[in-house]
Amino acid sequence: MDRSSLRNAKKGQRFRIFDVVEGHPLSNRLVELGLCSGEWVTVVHEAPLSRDPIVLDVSGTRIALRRTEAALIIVDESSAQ
Amino acid sequence: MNSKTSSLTALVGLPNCGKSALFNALTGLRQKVANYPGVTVECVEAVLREDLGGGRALRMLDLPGAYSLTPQSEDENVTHEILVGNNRMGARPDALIVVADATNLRLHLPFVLEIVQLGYPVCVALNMMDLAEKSGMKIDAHALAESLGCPVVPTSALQQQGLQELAEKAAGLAVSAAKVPDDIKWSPSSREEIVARRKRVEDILRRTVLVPGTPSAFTAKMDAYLLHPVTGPLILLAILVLIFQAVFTLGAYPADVIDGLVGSFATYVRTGLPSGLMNDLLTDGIIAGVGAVLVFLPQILILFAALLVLEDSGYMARAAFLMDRLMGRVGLSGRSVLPLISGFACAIPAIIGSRSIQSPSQRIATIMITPLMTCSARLPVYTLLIAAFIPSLTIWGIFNLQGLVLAALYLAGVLFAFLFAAVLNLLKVIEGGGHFVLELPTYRFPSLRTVARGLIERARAFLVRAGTLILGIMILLWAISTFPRPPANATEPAIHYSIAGRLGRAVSPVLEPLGFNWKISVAMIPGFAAREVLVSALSTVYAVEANEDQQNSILTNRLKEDWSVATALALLVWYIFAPQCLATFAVMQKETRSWRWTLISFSALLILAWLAAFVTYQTASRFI
Repeated sequence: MDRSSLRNAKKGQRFRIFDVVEGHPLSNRLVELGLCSGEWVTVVHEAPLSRDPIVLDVSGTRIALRRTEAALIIVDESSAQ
Repeated sequence: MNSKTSSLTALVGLPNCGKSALFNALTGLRQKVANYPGVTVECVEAVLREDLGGGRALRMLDLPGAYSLTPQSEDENVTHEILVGNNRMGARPDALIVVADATNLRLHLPFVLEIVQLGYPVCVALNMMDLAEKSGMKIDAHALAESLGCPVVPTSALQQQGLQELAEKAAGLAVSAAKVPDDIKWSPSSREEIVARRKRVEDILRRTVLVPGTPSAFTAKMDAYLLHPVTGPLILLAILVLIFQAVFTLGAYPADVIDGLVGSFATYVRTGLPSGLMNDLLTDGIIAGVGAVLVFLPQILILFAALLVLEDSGYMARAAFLMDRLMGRVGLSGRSVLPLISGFACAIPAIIGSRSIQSPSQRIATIMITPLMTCSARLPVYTLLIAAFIPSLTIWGIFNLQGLVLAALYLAGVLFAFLFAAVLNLLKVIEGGGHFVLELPTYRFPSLRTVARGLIERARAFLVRAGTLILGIMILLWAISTFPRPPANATEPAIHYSIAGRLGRAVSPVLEPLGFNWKISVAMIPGFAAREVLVSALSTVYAVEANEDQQNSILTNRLKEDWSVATALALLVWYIFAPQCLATFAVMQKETRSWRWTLISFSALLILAWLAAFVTYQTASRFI
């Protein structure tokens, strides 16, 4: 199965989370916020002009984060809708 | 220790769980800021409302919101330290109320599980139950209590529901046989533990949520506009402009009323008491001085109210998202937006508020630039000078020139805050790429109680300052500007011969290139205690100097007669930068735990103030 990170995800895309990369100071925080493997995540907003940061929706919780942090979130490419 | 009278119950929970609203509902309006030894901690402490406590005086502590006990920022660290940190004697609460948002249990319950594991006597408040029910959700609270192994009370802080039951449960816990273990065992959660807790929550929800609610689409609909790439920034800008226009126009009416009252009170005292030193002290020193500051209370409160509403409604986090990229250019993040915007009200809560910034070096940089945000103490100075020297012209049919100048002063502060941060970034004071991860809460109608409590707190702090610090400074200033008395054959005004006159003339050479006369220099000396004191100090300096028939003409007219426009502009510019609030730097030192950064910030701002005022005066006096 093809995998990629959310670094270049576009507004409106929806993915199934495979894993969150460990080792970054905020990686466990992302999991605590609900970005857990198996969950569905949708890119709901992109910031003006630069399209960075973005807002993710994971089971009703909205999380704003930069694309450098979104890069920690590995998703199954094939689940993109 | 008598546990019946002095036991302490702490409220913990995620940010945006309605914890503070619940705390306010449980305790009413009498609160104090509690200090804990060892760390620079300020948590609000209060006593449970008498009608809820059933005769028991229960102390309640509102801990900063946290997503877990593994802290990612200074404010989460406060909660971490108090609950599981290396114990400082007596700092531990006797019982806990964990507050969870009933509309988002999937996010909130893992933290409840983590807390329950610690062994504290604990009960859960299932808050915002009214909203959960409105969404159609049905939950079996008894089954939930069984699964969690502790009492669960459905509550609504807004509707005042479940408070009685929660208070009884909390009081029961605090006096029960169950005691806080002597050594709390805790270690940072591994990824496996975090995932395991989430799995358990899924399991619990499957068994206890009878009907899942349909979440309201309101937030998504609002965000479609408020976070839209085009309308989002425009709305943010409009909100800020609107607030400042409101401060200037709406605030003017009550300010006039207070001004009138102060004036007639001064006249009443002046004519009612025999003339002499005592009369002068009361009217020229105390009433004129404190009155000049009181006049600005309405404007300061409007600003605070607007900021409290923005924060309580959930909009502030959106502002942080919209501005993150911009902040990122100078090495900061959207997290810095919240403290910096509250810096428009007062730098002190803003500096303390920067505890929510995740990166330590970004936090220090944010604290250092915060004094450049135009705080409400500058408003009295700006308003006075703008009213006196900027004509009230209408521009393009809608804008008022006075309002525009005020906006320009605010913008200049923001601009230089950015430049200051950019310099700190270039000098590698800010390390790493910086992070930005922030939950955008569901929009909520701001709780009137929370806003009202915030306003009362601020009004009280302001009045206490006017009544103590400012009053004391006013009396001292009156004394040094009255004594020694002028000689019998004096040719100059009386203040010329006083200590203040001499002091002002001594500093004068340094400030003369900025167009500041010795009277401004005199007024600026007490102004280092607090910015707004400059206004009172000016009115004292000018009232004392005046002869009898000028006595009642207002300060504005005096200044117009005495200063050039260039001087007024230079003084306005001086106040954008000048580090004239010693309390701010005391807090800065306490929060950064560094004299180095505090002194660097102080001197950089002082030098900037001098240079900018110098350029302004020299330019303006050539062209105006």
